[in-house]
Amino acid sequence: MKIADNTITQGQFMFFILQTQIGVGVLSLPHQVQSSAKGAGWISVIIAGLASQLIILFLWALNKRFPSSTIYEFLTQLFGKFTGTILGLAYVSYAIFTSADILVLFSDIVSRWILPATPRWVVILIVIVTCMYMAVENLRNIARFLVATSILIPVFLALAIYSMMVNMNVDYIFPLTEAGWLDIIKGSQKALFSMVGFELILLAYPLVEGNSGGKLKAISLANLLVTLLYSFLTFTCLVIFSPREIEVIPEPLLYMLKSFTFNVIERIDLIFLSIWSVSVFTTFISYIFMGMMGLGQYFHKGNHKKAAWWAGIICFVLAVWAGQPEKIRLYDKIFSIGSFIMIMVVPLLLLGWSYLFKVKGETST
Amino acid sequence: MRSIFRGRKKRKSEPTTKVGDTTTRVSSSLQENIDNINEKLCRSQDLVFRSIEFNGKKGVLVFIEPLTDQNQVLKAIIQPLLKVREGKLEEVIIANYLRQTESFDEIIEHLVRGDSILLFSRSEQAFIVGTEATEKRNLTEPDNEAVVRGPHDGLVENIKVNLYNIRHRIQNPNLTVKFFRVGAETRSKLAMLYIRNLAHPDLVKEVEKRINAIRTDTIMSPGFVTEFMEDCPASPFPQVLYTERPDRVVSNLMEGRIVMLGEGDPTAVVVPVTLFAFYQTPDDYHSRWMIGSFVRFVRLMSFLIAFLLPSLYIAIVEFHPEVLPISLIYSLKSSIDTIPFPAIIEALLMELTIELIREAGIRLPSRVGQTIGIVGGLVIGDAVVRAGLVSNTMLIVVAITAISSFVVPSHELSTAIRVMRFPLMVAAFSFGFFGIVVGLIIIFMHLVKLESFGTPYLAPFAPLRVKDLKDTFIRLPIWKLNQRPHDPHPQRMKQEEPSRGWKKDEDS
Repeated sequence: MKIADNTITQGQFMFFILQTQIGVGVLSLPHQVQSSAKGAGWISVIIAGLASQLIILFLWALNKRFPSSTIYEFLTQLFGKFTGTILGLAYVSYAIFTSADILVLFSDIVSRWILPATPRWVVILIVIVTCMYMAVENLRNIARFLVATSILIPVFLALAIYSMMVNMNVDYIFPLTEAGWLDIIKGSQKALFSMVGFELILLAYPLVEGNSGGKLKAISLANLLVTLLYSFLTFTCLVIFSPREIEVIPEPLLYMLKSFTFNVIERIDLIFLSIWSVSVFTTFISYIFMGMMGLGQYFHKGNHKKAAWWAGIICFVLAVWAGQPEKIRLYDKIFSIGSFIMIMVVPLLLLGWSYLFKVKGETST
Repeated sequence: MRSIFRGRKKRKSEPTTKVGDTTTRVSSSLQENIDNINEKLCRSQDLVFRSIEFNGKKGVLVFIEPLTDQNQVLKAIIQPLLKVREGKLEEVIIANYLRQTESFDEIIEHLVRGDSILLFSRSEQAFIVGTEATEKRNLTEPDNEAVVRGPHDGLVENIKVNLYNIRHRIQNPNLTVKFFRVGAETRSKLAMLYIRNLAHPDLVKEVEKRINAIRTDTIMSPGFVTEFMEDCPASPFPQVLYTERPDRVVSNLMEGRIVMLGEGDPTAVVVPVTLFAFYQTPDDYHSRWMIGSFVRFVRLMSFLIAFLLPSLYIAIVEFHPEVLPISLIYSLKSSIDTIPFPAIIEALLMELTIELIREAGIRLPSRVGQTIGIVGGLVIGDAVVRAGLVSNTMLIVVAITAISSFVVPSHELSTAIRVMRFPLMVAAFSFGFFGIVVGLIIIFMHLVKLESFGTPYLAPFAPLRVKDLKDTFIRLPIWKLNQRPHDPHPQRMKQEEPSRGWKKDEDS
């Protein structure tokens, strides 16, 4: 495939990152941040947004040194064939594991809220097959799809605004620093993990048109929008539920929507879940695409389509295996440690290495 | 792989064997020529030979009777030849088309088209005189694309008349017409039209390439051509626009698209197209823009209704009755409780009945068709509810769905939508809302991936181009549409300079 057919514009790149960031975490985010940051959960989210902006800067600086190669290509340039491939495969496993984790969380919520009688593996299989249909395409088609599905994000917002106006009680969030700043920052740690997705820049950077500044602007804008959306949703949940209530409900957003009705539709949460599943699908597509690109690079001479079968099967097995709640927690733990290492520690080391040994990719494509 | 290779080899060798055993040049002997023509045309009995004499030489006039304009033969050839017996033939014969040739194959080709051939003894020259007959029907408005206001003429089965109709509307030297002969045996005439300084040269080249790639014996209609040319045959969605309206052809040409016309078929094929083209009608532009926008919007809503309503109903009844308000649940429950089947069977039963009535309505003469519609729609609908086979609400759902699927101005897309809703119904029946979402996502992914001659099918929505959305979901005033749509990549984007400048002058 020619790389010329595969480029995306900066606007598409923005939506690509945005759709990857908004995903499965949004439903339980308020619950998670509230457990440590109390009423200041929304501040935690903003802090998390700032932190992810910092990480984005590092990732961008790393990519800027290799403007025409994806992560899988420049790892080899940095460390030679053998070590580079090993590190690349680590990123592949990170991407595939993240996709599997998304499936685990998603199928868990689906079976609790919409389809209690359907076996989990059926839901998982459906998601994988559907998303593979898109993930075998090139980045441009995927970006088109992600941009087009972004019209659903305002619906999120509208529902949240509506419910906030109906039964808001601002007293719930005061006193703001009840938990203390340390706990607020702890809370932001949790929020950070539902905001990851910007690491797709490692893969997409060389395929975006325009100069590096524009790319940074696009990804920062995506991060800004996600931070605002998330902190707003968290804020909404925090002013609607009392601190006691929110401790016992794992998906405050859904309960919030469940509690009030329109005249025509009684259960808005079901509608919301349907819309939200599109966002999960898009996140899954991005991650599995990242994994497949790596597999294609290393095993199929750059043709990521051929990796679809076994990437899908690995994902399926990983996701089906984590059936019980304790395994879901285990996955969550692996994911947070894994993403901490893969998108914060390793890129920093790579950046340092690249400066130290003055390894650089060619400057123009 | 090997069979393809063999196929190619065979194709190459075929014409050479043909050329070898046929006469390629006109012979000097008159009788031999007559025999050869007879041989070539299988002694067809509608072949007419009439002997004539000119400059003292014996000759013969050959034509195929049903294909030629008898009057023209009489006036252009026979009468002048009887009156003036000597001179130069070119000055005697009165015809638009007159050509001298030595090639025998050319003679045969023209004979089959309806031209007349003059042969003389002791001469290796043959004269081809254009006497082609044109039979045509009136330029009536196509039944399936009628409009309330606007031109009421339509394309016909004759390519020349259609070209007249189009050239008459675009009086511009840049309107280019290219003829192709497709179909090895039928030699059907195919015209490709584009505006030279608008249509993108790569697009023109691509279309030409695909037309030239067609290797088949028979081309019956543009439908054949499109099946050979379209990008994704495994898609239920139409990837070219069929129209019988010359004004629609013209507006598409002016957007930089390419139009193909086939001899013997009133359908024009427009490429490339987007999904939104199927929802535009000339009526939108003949009414005021607000009303046009409203109607356009209703039409696009009908797309969603036709797609979604039955499956939503099934999902709600089978999985999530709790989304409905309490009072509605009671009335719904009371009508469903007596029905022995699950909702999907009900829905399939009624949808298939509607399809039956529709198909029967098309095949029958119009008077009987109406009766069928009444019998089918009213009697079956009423009886089926009374018999307790289908619930009242399901009947409403199916009726609304059927009506909305007929709102689509394009017949091809309407069928695509009707077919696509069956899998959606099954998905809704198996997985409720989740199934519908998955089904919609798959369809949407398919639409995003689909391309029509290199143009994304969902343009300008995906890839998003906000400027072009002016003429998709709604229609803004024509003076706001000052740029052409981007999807066929026209050479010139601007199509309108500010035409309402007088307004500013008046105000100041």
